[in-house]
Amino acid sequence: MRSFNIHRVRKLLDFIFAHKHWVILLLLEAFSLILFVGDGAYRKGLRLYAYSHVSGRINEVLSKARDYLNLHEQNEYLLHEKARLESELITLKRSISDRDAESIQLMRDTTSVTEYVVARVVNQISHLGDVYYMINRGRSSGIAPDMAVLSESGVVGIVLEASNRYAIVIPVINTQLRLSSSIKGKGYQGQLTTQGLHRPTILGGLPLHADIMPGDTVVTSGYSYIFPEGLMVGVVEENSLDGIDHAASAFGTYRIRLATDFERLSYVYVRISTPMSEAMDLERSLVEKSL
Amino acid sequence: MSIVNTLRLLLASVIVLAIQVAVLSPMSLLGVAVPHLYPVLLMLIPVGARPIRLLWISFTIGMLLDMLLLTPGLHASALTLAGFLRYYFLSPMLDRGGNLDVLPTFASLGARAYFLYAEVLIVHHIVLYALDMGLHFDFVTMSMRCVAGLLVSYALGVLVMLLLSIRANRR
Repeated sequence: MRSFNIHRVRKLLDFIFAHKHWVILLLLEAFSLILFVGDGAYRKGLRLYAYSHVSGRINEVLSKARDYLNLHEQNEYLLHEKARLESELITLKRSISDRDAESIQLMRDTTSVTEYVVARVVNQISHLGDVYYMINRGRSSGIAPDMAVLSESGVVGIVLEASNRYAIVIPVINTQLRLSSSIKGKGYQGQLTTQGLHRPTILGGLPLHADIMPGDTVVTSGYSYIFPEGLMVGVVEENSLDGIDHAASAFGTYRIRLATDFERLSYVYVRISTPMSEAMDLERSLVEKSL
Repeated sequence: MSIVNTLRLLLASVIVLAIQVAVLSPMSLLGVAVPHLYPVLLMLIPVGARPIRLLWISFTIGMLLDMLLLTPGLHASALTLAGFLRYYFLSPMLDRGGNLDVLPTFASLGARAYFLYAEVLIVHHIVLYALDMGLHFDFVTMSMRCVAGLLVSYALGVLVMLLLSIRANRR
């Protein structure tokens, strides 16, 4: 009887060994199905472990990778958000200063900012040595000639022409553009001009007695139909006038370091403002009358 | 299984599982078709692999995926059976005395490689969707999801296999 049992066990073992792959298949399937069907502590523990350790860590890495791929989108979003905040800040500053000066009530209404449009610089055009920029927003985005263009650091220039989808910007580093600017906190006003590409930018027309020091901030004066006062233009670099043509004159002339880095200009903000054509027509009629 | 094949399978497993977890599993084309790319990893195991090796490899891949997708046992069960049956599906396709260290791709099996992948994928999908439906078994819904998923997964897998064949031919 005993030898019969041993024989049967051996036969069974031989059978199992001969078909071990089937046995392993059944064991692995059974293990998987118990994990899947069962709702016991082990399953919960495995889920918890997987969630807190392995899956959590891997998903974090994958999430970082996804974030990296979405950087461009996020950057666009941040630029829009920054433009919106900047727009609100300028509007707020404007409304505070306007409230202080009730006498220019009418002016506030006609120059109120509606919004900023973010545009990408798609091309730099060098026409006869003067620089122009092409941006990827045009009339369809509300952009029109004579609108102010800013960078995240300061003034860039003015919209010269606009087609439906593109616009050309004349920057302050173009010799054709003169920008009325003032020294922040000191009130002296002058004209910001440049003498060409890679040539110094200068602020001229200032009184000779003006106490202007290197590091003084230059901002827009507000004597413009395009730029409101107080927008960052740059800083006084030095009061040495070496290398500047016609520097010796009846007015003080200073070399300016512009706040906008034109070498790395990739995005700009176009200030969508109420057209000032009525005021400009009025000024033109005055000039014609005086002639 | 040579070191090159082992390393290739390891690297491919990492990449494919990452794509499956991060991109494909959260995706549901037209609300029904979830692409499953990871069964293509079974096609990166040499043709000479014995059933036990196939079992352990497919079970490990399935368990890893289950840990990442928080579905303990679901993918492991489906892939283990598909991996095991790959041996029996492949055996009649092999030529006697052929190189057993090659992968079952177009370069070694011709069009039979795509037929083999279809067989493996059908087994995998039937088990996967049947388990996934569980007690709430609804034949019509399951069939629709299974067939839709199968078509998308097959197209995706064939694309990967074509790329593998192109690389093999260049060498």
